[in-house]
Amino acid sequence: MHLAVPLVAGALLFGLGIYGVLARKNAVLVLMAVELMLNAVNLNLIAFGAYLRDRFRTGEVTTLFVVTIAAAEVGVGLAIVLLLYRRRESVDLDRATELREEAA
Amino acid sequence: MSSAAWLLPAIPFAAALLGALPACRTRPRAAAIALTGATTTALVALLLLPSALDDPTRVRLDRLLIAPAGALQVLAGTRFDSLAAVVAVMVGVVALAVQVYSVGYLHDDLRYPSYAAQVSLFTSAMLLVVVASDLLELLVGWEVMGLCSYLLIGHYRELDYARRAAVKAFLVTRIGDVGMLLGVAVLGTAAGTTDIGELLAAVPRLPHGALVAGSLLLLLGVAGKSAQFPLHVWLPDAMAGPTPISALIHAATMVAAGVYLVARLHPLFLASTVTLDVLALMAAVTMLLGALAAFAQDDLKRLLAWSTTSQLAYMLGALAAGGYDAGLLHLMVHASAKALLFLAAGLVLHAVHTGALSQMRGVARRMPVAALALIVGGLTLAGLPPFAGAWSKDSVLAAMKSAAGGSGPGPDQFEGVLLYLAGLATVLITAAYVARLLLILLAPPAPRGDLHEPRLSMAQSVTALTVTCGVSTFLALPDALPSWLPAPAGAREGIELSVGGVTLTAIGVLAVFAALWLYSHAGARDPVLLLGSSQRRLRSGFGVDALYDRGAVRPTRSVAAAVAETDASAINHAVEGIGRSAVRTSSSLRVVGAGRVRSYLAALIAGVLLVVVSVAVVV
Amino acid sequence: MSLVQHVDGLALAPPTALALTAAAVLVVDLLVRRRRVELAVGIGLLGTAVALVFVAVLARGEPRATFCLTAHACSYEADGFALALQGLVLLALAVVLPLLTGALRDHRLPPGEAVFLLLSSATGAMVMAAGRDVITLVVALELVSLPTFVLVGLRPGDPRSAEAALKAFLIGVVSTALTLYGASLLYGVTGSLHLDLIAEGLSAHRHDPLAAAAVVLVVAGFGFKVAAVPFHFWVPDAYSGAPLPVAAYLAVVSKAAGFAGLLLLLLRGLAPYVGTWGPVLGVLAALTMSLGNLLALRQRTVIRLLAWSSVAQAGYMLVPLALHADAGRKQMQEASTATLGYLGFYAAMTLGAFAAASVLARSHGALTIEASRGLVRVAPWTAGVLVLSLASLAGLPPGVGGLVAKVVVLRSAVDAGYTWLAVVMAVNTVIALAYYLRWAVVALSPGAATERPFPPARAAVGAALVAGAATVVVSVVPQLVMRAAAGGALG
Repeated sequence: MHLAVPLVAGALLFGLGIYGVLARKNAVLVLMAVELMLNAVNLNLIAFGAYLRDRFRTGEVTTLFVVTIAAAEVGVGLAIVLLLYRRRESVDLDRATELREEAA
Repeated sequence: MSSAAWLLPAIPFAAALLGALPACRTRPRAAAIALTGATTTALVALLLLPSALDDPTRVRLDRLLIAPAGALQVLAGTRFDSLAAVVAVMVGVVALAVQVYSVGYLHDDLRYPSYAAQVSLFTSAMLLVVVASDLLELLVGWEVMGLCSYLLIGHYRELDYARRAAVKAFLVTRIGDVGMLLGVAVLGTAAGTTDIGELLAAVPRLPHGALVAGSLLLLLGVAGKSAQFPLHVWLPDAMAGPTPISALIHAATMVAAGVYLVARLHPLFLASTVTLDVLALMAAVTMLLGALAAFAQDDLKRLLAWSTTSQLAYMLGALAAGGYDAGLLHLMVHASAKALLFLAAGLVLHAVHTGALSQMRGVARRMPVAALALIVGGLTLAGLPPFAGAWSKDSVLAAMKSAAGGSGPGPDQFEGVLLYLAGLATVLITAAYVARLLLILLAPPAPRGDLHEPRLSMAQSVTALTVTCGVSTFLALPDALPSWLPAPAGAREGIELSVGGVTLTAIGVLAVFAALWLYSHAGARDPVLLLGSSQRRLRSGFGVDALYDRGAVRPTRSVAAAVAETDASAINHAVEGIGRSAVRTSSSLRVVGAGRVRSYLAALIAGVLLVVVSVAVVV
Repeated sequence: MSLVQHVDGLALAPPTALALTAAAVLVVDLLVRRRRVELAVGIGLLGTAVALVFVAVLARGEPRATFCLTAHACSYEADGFALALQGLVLLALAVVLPLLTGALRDHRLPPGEAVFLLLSSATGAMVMAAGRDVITLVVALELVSLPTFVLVGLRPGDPRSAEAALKAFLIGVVSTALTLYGASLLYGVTGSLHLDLIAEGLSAHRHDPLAAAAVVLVVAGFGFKVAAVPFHFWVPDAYSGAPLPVAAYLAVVSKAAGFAGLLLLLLRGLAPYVGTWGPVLGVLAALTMSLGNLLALRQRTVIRLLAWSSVAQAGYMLVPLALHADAGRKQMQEASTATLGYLGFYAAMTLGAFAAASVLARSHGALTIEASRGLVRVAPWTAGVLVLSLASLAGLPPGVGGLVAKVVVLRSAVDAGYTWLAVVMAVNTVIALAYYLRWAVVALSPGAATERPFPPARAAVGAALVAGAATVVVSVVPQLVMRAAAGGALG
């Protein structure tokens, strides 16, 4: 397989993630979009690792780290979203605007 | 004795610290501390003087703290040579006179203790500037002085205009300080050191660009501190402070610091003709502007303030023309004369409770001490022989004349000629405003009413300064003047003085005196009426202040107001605006809405994308 | 290849000590019922002290390294740079922990959890300073960040706290995702994720657009930590939603960790692309300081003022990184010294300001600038610390430390040929004067008799005094900081 295939797929996945982050109002959906971005990273790492035939397997090992990071992020993220939901009964990002610059 | 130079800033600093202690905040204790500190400082300065003058070419360096630290070498220490010694004596003596005088002048002021401590700190900062061996060290003294001037000018803080004047002085000198900081950075980088001695030694090696840029930036700092056009606007307003503070600022500290810096780094300035041109033009404009504005003033202290601006330009003009000795001689002569004039003015103000000249007709006839002081100080300022001002002024003019002739170091000939002409004109205008001042204050008849006598301490220090000013007449005589201040390489050697020049100047001054006397005598008129309708414009210093208000202050305020709008929400609006236009074409991209976090994220990603694209294109 | 790797325990001792302390705090907190706040903070301080001793021991010996890929490429190095930053983190922690006691009591936060999270995050900051490959740096970045998100959201019953946490979290994770994507591309281009090997690989691939894009992306996560434009949005919201000591931690330790990563990444790994990132950082530095200062100018609450001020200060700290395309090893070394030195001065003065604000928050209730009127009467020492810190931040005497820091940074900008940046910075320092001095004047001016709902927390006053003393020390002997900072990021 040509290297371009996984790379383009990764880029599309990452773009999709960015789109999700920008377009979703629901905090949980934004979290999922971030997961997409991280998985694009994983795809890239695996593809490059295979392509480079890295003696140290850096790509594959890093993927494990990224998966762990993603899990930790989701854990903390869901906890925060839950906290917000308890206070506000809503996970709509557009309604969390109490903290902001005061009007002059 | 040489290593005692650090005592000069240390003693008044200790006095300031002691004075700031709660236990020392009673009036007698504060006065005792301040007076002891000032006396000791003046004594140390006097004791250090002979050894420094014995061998004027010797520079005594004491590195108190040597700290090589990575990229930055911090060398703090003292650099004590004849220049520092002489200026230190001047600072010490004037500060002592001011402290003595203040005991009487602020007799009924509850804030006297903190005032006395601040004056001590002010003195300390100035002396740090004088003995500093490193530009960064000098900068510390320079900034502390700015802070003290803010506190002292704003001493009467219940007065609105005093607070405004203090803020103005602080901000305007601060503009200069920014230039100064940058200048030090540029020069320090180019020379690889900020030590004054090493920097001066490195001047021939410096790249020309760095030299010009650095010296011009330093000049900005000088213009701020020494109240030169276009940063002169703070000095007349600074009169809102107590009168002894005006004497201190005008004579020996603050404003003298700028002149001192140019003298300290004279070889550096001489090496850049562009800088000398700018300095000469600045001096020429300021001396004329200041003298004319002084003549038009209605207020005694403002008259003296504008006069200071003008006379400082004289000193800087002399330095620009390469006249190192002449400029410094005038600095010293002017310091004693101006301190005397201010303290005498304080006596008058204390008696009549107003600054308006129109209310002071003949007042000095009832106050012999003030009258004598005003006459001695005024004639020194006007440059009438045999007072010292005549010699210093003439040597300044001689230096300017040679610069105008295009010989020796100095600015280009064109600027030299301008400077010389401005110098000549200023002599006459100076004579005119001094004559006006004296004529008003001494005009008969003496007013009736209760003019209470000055307090003892005030009279004492005025008398002492009168004597000092008189004695300086003989010290300043070219023959009596040993070559105290060896000019640095490249500057004009010694003081040139011609009998013809002095005589001509004297005749000019006398002619102005006579003319104004005749004018005012015929009908008891204020000579300022000669100016007619232009008085108002002159009085406001050609409306530079108003110009700044229109040109800088108000636009800055409106920019600030606009900036206040440009907060994250404005950025959000921009992002939302982009989003809104995008939604019209594609409803799928819903960046729109008041979603704050999402606007943040959108701005973040847009920013990163922008950088990525531009970088990838450029590479 | 041997399957058993030798691990140098001493090199790892400082972060290990802190991590173990964090675990200990959590366990002890489960077991005891009374005086939980004192116990948690006490154990935390003890662990900090132990870690500090290890740092001192390591600093006396030769630099150590462990987790080595090859003989020369190690993932963890306890060299001068790492130890200086670890020392900074620990000293800051020693101020933040006592500050936390007041907040723990006032807001009824769970003490064990709070101290645990704080120590975990600080462990991440220590690892960040010593990490020498991108994976270690990113993991450390997450270890610093994730606990702080929770800490920001820790104020119970306050919806603003949860909102602040969410905002910081979302911007943080998106930035991390960008960094990781950049790292994956960098791996593809250079074939390694160790900083030295990346540098080797990049020298072989000059003028590669993909590499340039990777360079920019990989910096993103660290830009978030240091709060540079355009990653700064979370700062004012998070600071004002978080408990004050947590905000202090974010402003000092978390920012220091960000700068550690940034310096390592740029100066060591991405050095061959200095022509690409140098000008970009120059522009970002100018934008960051200008935006921070301009917005700080209009703030009425203490916390938002400090937040924007910390953004502006980050801008100053980025200035030395604005390097010229032909910058050599020496310039990079000096840039690292300048940024690190500024960080040291900044830590002392910022902690002073935050500690004073913490005292203020308790004794005055409201946290507007106006509320600090008359502070000099109520708490003269705290007012002294506050004024000294503000003067330092503004770069005015008596805060000589701040002045020295600014001169160092300014010099490096002029050195690198970025005169315009030096001018922007000079203008910015003038703007900054306005708001720092305004606050100082308010604190010093005699105000109306202020109501004091609470007496100032003793621990907070103590922390303020410690920070004030640190500011005095770095003002009197600034070379202490500069010497510590001279251990460069270049290995």
